[in-house]
This record gives sequence, C-alpha cells and structure tokens, in this order.
Amino acid sequence: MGEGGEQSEFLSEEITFIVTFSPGGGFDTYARGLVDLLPDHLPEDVDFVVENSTPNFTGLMDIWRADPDGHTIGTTAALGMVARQIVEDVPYDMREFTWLARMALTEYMIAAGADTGYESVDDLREADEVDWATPGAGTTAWLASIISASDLEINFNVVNFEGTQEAAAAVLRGDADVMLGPTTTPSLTEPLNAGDMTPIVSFTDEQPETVPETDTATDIGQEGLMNLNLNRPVFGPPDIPDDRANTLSESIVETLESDEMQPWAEENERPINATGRDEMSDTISGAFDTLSEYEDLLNDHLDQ
Amino acid sequence: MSAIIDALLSAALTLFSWPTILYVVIGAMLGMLFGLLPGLGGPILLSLLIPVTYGFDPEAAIVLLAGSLGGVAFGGSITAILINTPGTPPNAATTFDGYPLARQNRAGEALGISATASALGAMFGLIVLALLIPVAREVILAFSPPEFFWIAVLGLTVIAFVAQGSFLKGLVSGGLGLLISFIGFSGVVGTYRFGFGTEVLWGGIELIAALIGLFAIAEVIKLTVEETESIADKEQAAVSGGRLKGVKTVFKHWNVFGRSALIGTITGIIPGAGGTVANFIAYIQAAQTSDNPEKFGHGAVEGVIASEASNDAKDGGSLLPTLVFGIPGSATAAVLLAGLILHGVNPGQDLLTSELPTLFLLLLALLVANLVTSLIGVSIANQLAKITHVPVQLLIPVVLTLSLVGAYALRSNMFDVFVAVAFGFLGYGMVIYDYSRVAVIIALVLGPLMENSFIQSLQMSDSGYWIFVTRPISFVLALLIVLMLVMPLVRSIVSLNGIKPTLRGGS
Repeated sequence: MGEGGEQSEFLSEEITFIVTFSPGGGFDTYARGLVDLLPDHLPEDVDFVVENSTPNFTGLMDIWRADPDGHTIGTTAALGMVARQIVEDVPYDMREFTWLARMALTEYMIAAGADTGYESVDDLREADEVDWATPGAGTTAWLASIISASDLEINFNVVNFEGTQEAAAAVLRGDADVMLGPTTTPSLTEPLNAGDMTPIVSFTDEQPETVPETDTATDIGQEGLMNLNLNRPVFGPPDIPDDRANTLSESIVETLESDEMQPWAEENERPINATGRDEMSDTISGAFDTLSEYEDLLNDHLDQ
Repeated sequence: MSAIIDALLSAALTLFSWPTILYVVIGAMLGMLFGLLPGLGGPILLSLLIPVTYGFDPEAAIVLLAGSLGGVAFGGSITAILINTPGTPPNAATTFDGYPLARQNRAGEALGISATASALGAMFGLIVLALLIPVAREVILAFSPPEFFWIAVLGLTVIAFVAQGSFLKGLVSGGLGLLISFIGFSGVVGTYRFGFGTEVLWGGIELIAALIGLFAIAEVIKLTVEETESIADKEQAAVSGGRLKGVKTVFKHWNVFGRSALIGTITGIIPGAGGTVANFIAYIQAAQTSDNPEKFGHGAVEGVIASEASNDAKDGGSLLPTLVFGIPGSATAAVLLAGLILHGVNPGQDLLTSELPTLFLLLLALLVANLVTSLIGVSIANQLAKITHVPVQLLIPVVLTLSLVGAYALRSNMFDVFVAVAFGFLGYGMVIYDYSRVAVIIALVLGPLMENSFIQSLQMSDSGYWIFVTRPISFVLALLIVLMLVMPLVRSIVSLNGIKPTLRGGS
C-alpha cells in the first residue's frame, strides 16, 4: 500500500515536460502530441505543462537539476549532447539521466544541389572538395555530417548555418554543394521532389517513403551510418526512483503505441518508433562507444 | 489569366462563407491578443492552435492559422506604443518613436498610424508576393552570406544618424551593443564566447529581454525618479485628430511607407533574415532618408510608419520561400508551414498551379485578418490612448509585471528576467548620460547577422576576402556604404566652399 499510496500521490500532481527547442519544431511537435494523449494512459489524472527551455544546453541543465521525483521530464537531441560531453568538460553526464523511452527515430539523408551534378557517394568521393552545409556546429545533423563525410572518405569543407532551412536554402543558392537532413523535413523533401536537389544516400535499410529514388546505407554497404540517425528520447533527471520511472516509461510507450497516436502520426507526418527504458539507455551507451572513436575529428571541427 | 481570376473568386467565395469568415475573425483576435502580450507572439500561438485544428476542414484550419498570423504584428505595436514594451520582436523599432509620441499625448495618433501602416503594409506584402510568384526562384536565390554581411554593415552605419549629440557616444553605444550580441555559443563559429565559463550566458543575451530592460524598465525607473503623474500630461489637451490624424499621416508619408513595405517584403523573402531585421532596416532607411533625422527617437511619425509597415509586409515576403520551396522565411512561417502540411497543403509547384485557390484562400485570410485587427485598432485607439493618463502609481506595477513575465516567457528562463532588470538600470544610466539606446539595439539585432554572414562567407571561399566584392549585389552594396559614409563629408566640404565666398563678400 505504501508504494501504491506514493504512486497515487505522485500521479495526482502536475508534470512539466521540458522541450529544449523552440515551439513548432520537430521535438516540440512530438512532445505536444504525446502529452495530449499521455494522461489517458496514466493510472491517475495528471496535468502536463510543456515548457520550451532554450537553448538546448540550458534546457538540458534544467532537466539535469530538477528534483528526481518524476515531475520534470523532457526531450532533447541526445547525440549532440553526448558528443559535447566527449570533447568538452561539461556539467552533466548523459549516462546518468533517467532514460524513459524513445518517441521516434528520425532518419537522415544526404542530398546535393541539382546543379552540382553529384548523384552518388562515388561522385562526392571523386570531387576535390565538397562544400557541406550544416544546420550549425554541435547539432546532431552537424555531427552526422562530419562523421558520415569522414566515413565515406569525402574531402569536405563545412559551411555552418542556423537551422536546416537555412542550410537547404544555401544548397539551392549554390553556396554549398550538399547537406544532410531528416528524410521527413519539407525543407529537403520539397526541393528533392521538385528536382532542385538530388538524393545521394539515406541512412536507412529500406528506401524512405518520402524519397523513394535513393540509395540506402545498406545498398552502399555503410550500415554504420544508421547509428547517426536522430533519436527523440524522453528522459528525466538522474535517480528518479524505479517505480516512478517505470510507471512513466510504460505509460509513454503505451501511449505512443496506442490506436489514438497512429492517426496523429500520419496526419502530422511524424512517424513513431517507440522503445522503452532499457533500449533507450543502451542507445545512449552505444552513442558513447561510437562517438568516442571520432573524438579527434570532433575536436578539429569544433576548434575551427 | 482567367485561371488566376477563377482561383481568386473561388477563394473569396470560400472565405466569405459562413462559418469560414468567423474563423478568420477569431484567428485575428487571438493573434492580436498574443501579439499584445510581451513574450508570446506568432510561433507560440500557432503551435498552440495547430492541435486545435486537427478535426477541422482544411479550409477552416487554413483561414484560422493565417488569420491568427495576420493579427500578431499590430497587436505587438499597441504595448510598444503605450508602455514602451514591444509585444513581439518585430515591433521593437516601434517603441523608439511610438512611445515618445504617447508621452506627447499623441498615443491615439500613433496607434492610428500603426493600424493603418500595418494593414497597408500587409496588403503591400501580399500584392508583391502575388506579383513575384513567376520570378520567385530568382529573387529568393539572389542573396547569399556576402550580401547579408553588407546589409548588416549598411544597417550599422545608421548609428551615425540616430546617435544624437555626441558621435563618440553613439559609437560607444553601438560598440557595446555589438559586444553584447557576440556573447554565447555560436553554431556558425562553433565556439562559446564571452560567457566567463558560466552556463547562463550559453544562449547569449536575449534581444527582447534587453529591449524590455533598456526601454520599458528604464522608463519605469525614470517615471519613478521624476515623480511623474502619468505617461502623458492629463491637463494638457490631447493633440487634435488622434487616430484619424494617424490614418492620414500614413498617406501623407506615402514614400516612407512604400520604401519600408518594400524593405519588409524583400527581407521577408530572404530565409533567415527575419522580421526583426526587416523592422530595423526599414527604420534605419527612414532615418537616413529623412530631412530631420534628429527627430527620430523623439516621436517621429515616420519611425512608426517604417516599423509597422515593414513588419506586416514581411509576412507576405516570408510566405514566398515557404510556399515555393518549403523553406520558411521566418520562425512564424516555419510553424505555419507545419500546420499547412498537416492539412494537406504542400508547398511547391502544385500550390502555384493546380492548388492556386488554396494559395489565394491563405493570402486573402491573411489580408482580411490584418484589416480586421487594424479596423479594431483604429476604432479603439482613442480609448486605448487613455492608458497614458492612468496615474503612474497604478501603471508601474502593471508595466513591471508585464515586462518581467514577458522576459521570462521568452525562453522559460529566469536569467532573462535578471537581464531585463540589469538592462533597465543600464538604460536609465544611458538616458541620464545621453547615450543612444537605439544604437545599442541596432547593434544587438545586426551583430549576429553581420558576424554569421562574415564567417559563412569565409567558410564558402576558403578564407578568401574577395568574395565580399566580386559578386554583383555585394559590390553594389559595398559601394553604397562607401557613398553613404563619404557623402556627408562631401556635403560639408561643398557647403563650406559655398559659405566662404559669402563670408568674404560680406566682409
């Protein structure tokens, strides 16, 4: 009864869901979609408040310092923060957060400006130097850009912009040759469909629905690229008690896999790929192993 | 041509049918409310509205979202004029002359100017958008980082015009603004600068928090210290004409309006430039081209016209890359795009051909929402202006609460509240010692654009500096800056030469 009583008290209060990005973006959309339906899957009535705490680092620190009682959870682009932890002295430890679930895995792809004439990874390898537009140093797409370019043995020059839209605009203007972005973002899919950009490779096993005419990571024998895709996790501060973490985690996964969530995902073109606590924790541990191999590369590009 | 007219008629019939028109009005009112409250604004309103529209017909959803977007900018000008706090970032420059007008008992007139310039600016932006559709691609792709760099430098040159009194003090203010604008992590440079190793400065100094401090909180301190009874003198008769005079003023200064609306539209078209930059560049050109630049910052009606015409015109401009390429020209356009896609409106060639009625429905809803909010604005301008007669003892707690809550709401960050308070004292000190607060803000807005585009240009050119002058538009902009800096010198030499013979003749 003691545990049940504590759980009931916990679930009767308000839960703050911190999004470390601005309203309207991918993380915010997933978070708001989830918390709209999540109360129906919790044992007691709970109100959720979505708080956009930006920039990314500030929002992450808000979650890091929150009381570990389950009343503050949130979402961020975890891979970028893992990379920062590897190359810098940071006041957080990504391995210590209480990982609850994954909402989605957003897959990346590389696309080139149509006028560049690049059509494949081989074309990029043969170029003297490829100007590569990124949405900003330290972002997950930036990280995926420099690691994939390095793995694919492409001689590249990074041009940093602020956001995927600006990077896409730079490729369309000819300021840069290629970019990397989600296979679902209109900033990439619309120019691809219009023939203004050419797909090079998607970091997927099968061809994505949005870009059917592209090579995949499997096609070119580079399955490791799929480790760079964007996880959208839900997590809380370190040391949330197991009973509370389990309640939250199970309810989040149940919500994400529910019949109500699927129409939302289709309408918003936001695919759901839910996983639970253990899988998300393993993903973070795996990210440390993978990214540690690139420490020198990351340092070179953050020092530029 | 008949296809365009058919599409326009079809869109108009849909828009003015019941209950579709109701959604436009509801959207416009919500937009006005979210614009009015500092710290909220378009992206937050649209983010909250999108889930509400899930069950809506696509037409109803489109007009509700477009309508709400249409009401935001004018709403933001109301608090900018009445209490010196911009409701949204693109209303920032409205405070510079709007609030001084309110203090001169001309709040009704300022609100009339804002409402008229907003409505006409939106109309201008949408008409230009419709005309530019055939050449949209070329216009959007014409501006790259080297051109952005020169645009930012061009904007900074206005500090010479707005820094009344000591030129040196103007440079100090501008330099301070630039230094502050470089604080924080830069995704373009890839480093964290001037943060003294702290976490709180990671995201830099939030522009609106600084603005709220420099203007609204500094004003609260000033009103308190001066023991002023009300923002405007109750005993002094209100300037005759009020709101209607404001409406006429916009038509009287049609050239300032036209240039500002054009600047707003073009800046909106450029992805990444944003509404706040449009707002300042328009304000800057109004000051530069005025015969009385010294009036700016002290209640120049042209300042309010420039600011409000540009920030509404930019909505039309920012829709162009959004609708043609799926690349939003502003944060608000980015959220609107998500909402449109949700309801089956996909950007691209189809929207400009087979889906033309949908495009016109969106544009008409935006236009009608602007007209509705401006009409409401003009109707209640004189009543709103009475806020400036409320005793300051009652007004100060409200202004302070709005300011501090607004600063917090920007990023849910308590540090922004401290920034607002610190800038409040800084602003008051600048008033006392006659330093230009406008110069600080101009540098704060344009600093990141200048720095980012400078670095991006060098990243594009493998650190070659010729990129700044070897592109045609860059070259013209650079030349323009040289001319602007040299012309006052030439003028003074010419006038000196003209005076000398007269003096000699007189002697």
